[in-house]
Amino acid sequence: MVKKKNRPAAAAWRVLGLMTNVGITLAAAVLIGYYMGHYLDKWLLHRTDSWFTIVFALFGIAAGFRAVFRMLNQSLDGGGKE
Amino acid sequence: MKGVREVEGHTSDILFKIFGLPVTSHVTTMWAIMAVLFILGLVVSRNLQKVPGRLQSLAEFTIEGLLNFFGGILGPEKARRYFPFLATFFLFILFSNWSGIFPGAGHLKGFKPPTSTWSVTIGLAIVVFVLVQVAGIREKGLGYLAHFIKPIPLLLPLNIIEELVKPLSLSLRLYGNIFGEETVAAVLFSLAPYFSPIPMQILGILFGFIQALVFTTLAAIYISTATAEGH
Repeated sequence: MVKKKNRPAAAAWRVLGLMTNVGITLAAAVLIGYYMGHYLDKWLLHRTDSWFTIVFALFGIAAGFRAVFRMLNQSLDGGGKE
Repeated sequence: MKGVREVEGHTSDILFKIFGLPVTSHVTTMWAIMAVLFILGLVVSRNLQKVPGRLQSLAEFTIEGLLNFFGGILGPEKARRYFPFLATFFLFILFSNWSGIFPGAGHLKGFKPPTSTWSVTIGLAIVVFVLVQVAGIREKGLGYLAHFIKPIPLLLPLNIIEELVKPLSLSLRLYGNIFGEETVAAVLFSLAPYFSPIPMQILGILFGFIQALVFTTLAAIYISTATAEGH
């Protein structure tokens, strides 16, 4: 009985985990992109908030959307990899 | 960073220092939970019976349920391989979340649920992050590292950001949920001390379980994507 009950449960938790992660992921990706650019600017260009910041913030936004897209895809194709 | 520390009450919360490292209430509670888990494990595994007693059947039920659960995400073979890690994480996070339900948590010195501070959850998430990378390299060799420059090498920063987002979102979600719940319970308590926090405590039991399971589920999903064939 435990086995039968747990299969669909795992799939449901999978979807729940992925879906509730969407918002945070989008925000966190932009943050990470921005800070990566910020520190690259400091390190390589010796000034703050210049080209690296702009480019990496954009990278962050793109990465966020890609991660969200991938997560939605993942949650749609169901659980249970054998 | 100073702002975050002040909000979390780190600066005022240092109980004592070991080799110059400050020990806060979160840390002492964490030690207590570690001790409880350790002793529980020891007691249960010491004398295993053919016909299990109450404690042993509870432990068996938990372990079997978790194994089946992770099997549903990772597949039976990989679930078995990463089970010790995932189950330990689940139990530790569950006990941490639930430790906030006891009366006095957050008020008494030396007693605060560890998962209600970001330092603990980011630590857990970093361990997950390292494990996912190690698992990927171990199962797929250098082919795993190649996925960072996959469709085109230009996407390397994008892939790195995507990989770094995982531990950050994982830790923020756990910290945010538990910290928020603790704060609401504390506010309710200060408004009307006797019965008003009870519904929040009951919700806390539920949320603590959900957050622990979601954390480990996501960790399992990350492992399964890092080690999946074909990608």
